[in-house]
Amino acid sequence: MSSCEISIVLRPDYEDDQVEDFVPAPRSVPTEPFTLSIIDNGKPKAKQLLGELASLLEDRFPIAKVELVSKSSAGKPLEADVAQSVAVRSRMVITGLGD
Amino acid sequence: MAEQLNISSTEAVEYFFDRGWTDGLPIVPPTPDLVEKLLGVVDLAPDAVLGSVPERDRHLTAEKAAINSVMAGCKPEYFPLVVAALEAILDPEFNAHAAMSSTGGAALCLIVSGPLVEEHGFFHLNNVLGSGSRANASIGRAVRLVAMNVFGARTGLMDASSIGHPGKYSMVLAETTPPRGWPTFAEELGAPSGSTSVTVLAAEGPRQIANHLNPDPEGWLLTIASAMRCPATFTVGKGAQVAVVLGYEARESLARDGWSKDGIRSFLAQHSRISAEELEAAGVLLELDSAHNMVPEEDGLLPSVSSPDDILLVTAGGPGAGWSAYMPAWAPIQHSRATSRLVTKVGHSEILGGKDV
Repeated sequence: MSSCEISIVLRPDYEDDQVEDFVPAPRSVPTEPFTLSIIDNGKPKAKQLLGELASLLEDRFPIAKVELVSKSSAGKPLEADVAQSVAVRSRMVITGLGD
Repeated sequence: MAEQLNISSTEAVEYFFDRGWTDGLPIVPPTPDLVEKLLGVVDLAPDAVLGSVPERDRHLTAEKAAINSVMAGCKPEYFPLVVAALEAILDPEFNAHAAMSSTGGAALCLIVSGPLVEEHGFFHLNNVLGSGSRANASIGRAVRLVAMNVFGARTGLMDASSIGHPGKYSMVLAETTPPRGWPTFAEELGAPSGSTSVTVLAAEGPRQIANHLNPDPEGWLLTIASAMRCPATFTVGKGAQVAVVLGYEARESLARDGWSKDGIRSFLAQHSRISAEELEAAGVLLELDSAHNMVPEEDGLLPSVSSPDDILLVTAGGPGAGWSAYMPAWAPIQHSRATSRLVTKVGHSEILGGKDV
């Protein structure tokens, strides 16, 4: 084989990444009393941090109730049925906590 | 099917470096004929799915596994073991998404037990966790390259390891024949006689353990337990799985003294428990009111391993005064569990669940 010969090699990475287009839900400022849910990922002080955030939001929005959902592992997503239940009950949900 | 790239043969390695498709070391260019040889060994179609990481919306095909195995330097006959290891990694119990992304920086540590250890020339005595064996190096490297290339476990993308460790290049622990009367690791998993198992543990780096002078085998175990309860280890006081490597002198002395593997596991689980005061003396604050609720149990102590059965006890390592080792899982038990597969000659591997690991 000469030094400049062309050879065929195969791509090793993931090639099927396709993000479907989606339309986000319309944004609106809530005026009626609603439930805010906070999803604690189980990390130390996550509950306290999210609780503080909920308190700040209570000053700005008509929040009737704050519900806390705690995960057993920060490394696992919320179970689908729990997520569905939270979505049904809540007008606003805060999650996405890291380290 | 994977995209075919036309590249000058002299530039292929640099091309892969430039695209971030390597682990920092040169690779074997994955040409179609080499990839075909691996797929032929397992008789799997290129698009056969070995598993997925749902959180990343990505799946692994046999072809991508073979491509990355060629790149890692695997011989074709290694591929059934690579397939089994990858299918274990993609078991939901293992939680690959977290293991591959956590700041804790876990390796995908493979524990191999059975006749393939000798057949493939794995190091299972001297340098069992060191360098020099193609099987140990390339099979572990293959699963890491899959994690990087197929599942995006790369620095700056989906691998957030703060420190990491060298086992993230490759980490394979091959079992040597246990002393007479002790079951092999594969047998404990329920593998049929004459078969080979592979278990995957998301592991921190190995700690070498020395005890050169104590003639009492129980002294060996106390030394190992002391390493297992080091407050600096993230899982100590929380409860996790660990792999314990019983070196040559330790395993021979313990077996001669009448210890069973179950007895060793119970002893280590008990003696690796730690008090809140010891953790606090080392500056470790207890996690409370969180997923790791570190409340001392009835004996006033906290667990370092979640149960005796969560000690993956492996006989390995060559003669030499007093060396053993242990590797803790990177996270407590609720986040990830070791998973095992029976290596099959062709097709997919089989789930092994004889022991709850």
